[in-house]
Amino acid sequence: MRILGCFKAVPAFDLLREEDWVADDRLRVDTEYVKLEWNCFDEGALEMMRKLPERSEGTGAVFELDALTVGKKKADSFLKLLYALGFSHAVRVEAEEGAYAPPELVAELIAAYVRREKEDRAYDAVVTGVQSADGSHKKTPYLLAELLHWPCISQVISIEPAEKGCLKVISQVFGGEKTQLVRLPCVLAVGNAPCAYLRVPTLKDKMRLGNRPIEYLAPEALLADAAAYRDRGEKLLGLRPVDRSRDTVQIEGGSPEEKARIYYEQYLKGRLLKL
Amino acid sequence: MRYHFIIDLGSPDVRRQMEEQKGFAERYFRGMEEGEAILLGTKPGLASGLRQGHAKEAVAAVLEDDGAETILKALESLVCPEDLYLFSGEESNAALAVRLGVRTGGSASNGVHGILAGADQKLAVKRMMYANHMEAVCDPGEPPFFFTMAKGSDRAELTGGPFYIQRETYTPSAADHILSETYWTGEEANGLKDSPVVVAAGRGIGGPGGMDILRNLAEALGGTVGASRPVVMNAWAPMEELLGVSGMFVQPEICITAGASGAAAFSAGIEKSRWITAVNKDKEAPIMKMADVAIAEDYEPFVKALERLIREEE
Repeated sequence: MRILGCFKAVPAFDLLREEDWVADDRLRVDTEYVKLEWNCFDEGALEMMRKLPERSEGTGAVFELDALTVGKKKADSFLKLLYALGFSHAVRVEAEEGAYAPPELVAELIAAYVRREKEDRAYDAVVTGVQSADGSHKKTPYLLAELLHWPCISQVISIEPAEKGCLKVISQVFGGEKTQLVRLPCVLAVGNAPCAYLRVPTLKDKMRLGNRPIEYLAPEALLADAAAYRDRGEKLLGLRPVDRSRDTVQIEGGSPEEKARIYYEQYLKGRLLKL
Repeated sequence: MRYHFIIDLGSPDVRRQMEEQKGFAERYFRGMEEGEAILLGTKPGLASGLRQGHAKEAVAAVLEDDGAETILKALESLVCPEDLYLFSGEESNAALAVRLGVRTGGSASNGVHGILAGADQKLAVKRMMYANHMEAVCDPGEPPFFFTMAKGSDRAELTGGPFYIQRETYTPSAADHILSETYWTGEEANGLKDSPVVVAAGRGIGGPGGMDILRNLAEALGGTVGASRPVVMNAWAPMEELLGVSGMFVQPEICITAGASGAAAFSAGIEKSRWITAVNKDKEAPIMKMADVAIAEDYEPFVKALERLIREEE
């Protein structure tokens, strides 16, 4: 079974200082100098994929796991790590310097890559996170499903091997969980997975597998009119930082016990009585 | 242009969703004509148990199953090309909005917390970007519009009577890819959503032992605990207690955070609390500025001392 995991490496936004949250003339925030990290939902999706071969031990099922990102060179280290974790093939579609790739473009590029693989090399599933931290559009997996004419399951929290041509998929629904035996192909959009962190590869695996060649593709290699998709979807008209500050009172000095007493007597007790 | 609510009557939280949709419409759809609501469910006569609706008229879309593919097939046939369709903020609705946008040649925006009407009568939506650090105003594109609301939107009381059901449609299953399915109904996270007091844990609590300390405080306060994403992802707290953009939005009277730095994605989940206290060793942590009372202290001795004081009063 061949599965493509799509991910984004995003700036670690919480490292930015308050004064860094300024939109430029193009309505963008400069985050080029911030280190990248896994987009949290994508990381859960990739770890979920990574578990499939382990979970199918003894069943005879074979999983071939590939990874694709639309990003800049800085994302290569993430692809190398996936190689070290046992992924078979890693692809980076070059993102244009200084330009934002909207979900409409990303989904078209992924769809074009998936369509390129045919017959016995065709993908059985695409797994990706429900949203990325930067744009927060919550669109890419769903646009992709429509482009491929595949069904889609959202808020996936677990994937397990199943009978031939199928996966057992657990997804979060309001008030509970749904476990489904799903016939592929399908797009799986991963939500709040309980095991959301990718494991760390061993040094041996990093040395042995981590330096395999990454496939680089220009967007135009997949999509002749890729540039036309840059302006699809929502158009940004304004961008401003959010001020969540309140008139804060600091409780200063003394031991933790003294602070607790001041806090309880002067601030909390009265409010509790009113409840 | 008319606006329509789309609501899943199979949801256990249907009243809250209707109240949130109504609150949103009262605030942002003034002057816009109300269209019929679309009620989704798997049983014929699905709206008969509802004493109150949030729109005067409705279409009951009865589905053979409640899978996304079947819902999409039902909705496609009910969409008017000039209109606006509003979903509640449940996560699964984003998929429906986006896919309907593609199928009908319209546009989707998710997590919308406000709507602006320009001088040219074109709509613009307000939603969050950059992991909730920035608020964006966006031109959503061309109608029909499919918007999902931001979580925790303000509610409005339902004052009218039941829906007048104009017609009922039936959609057979489009879920050929589902070979079998089972449901597990979880317990709602200890009443977190409606608790008047929430004790919220951040990564700084250091481990599952920290959660026990906060649970004891919450119990003494008659409240409940919630947790940031790193706490839940480290399995120090269950998923049902997740607060923030990927979890629950709460609006308690009193919210006490411990060991939370104030990452925007977490802060968004508690920012509507009436009164916030932050306990954090780092005086400069962002959470300290968004609190009404800030205590720069190691959370453990402070919380234990506070719990003792409360129990002594009891």
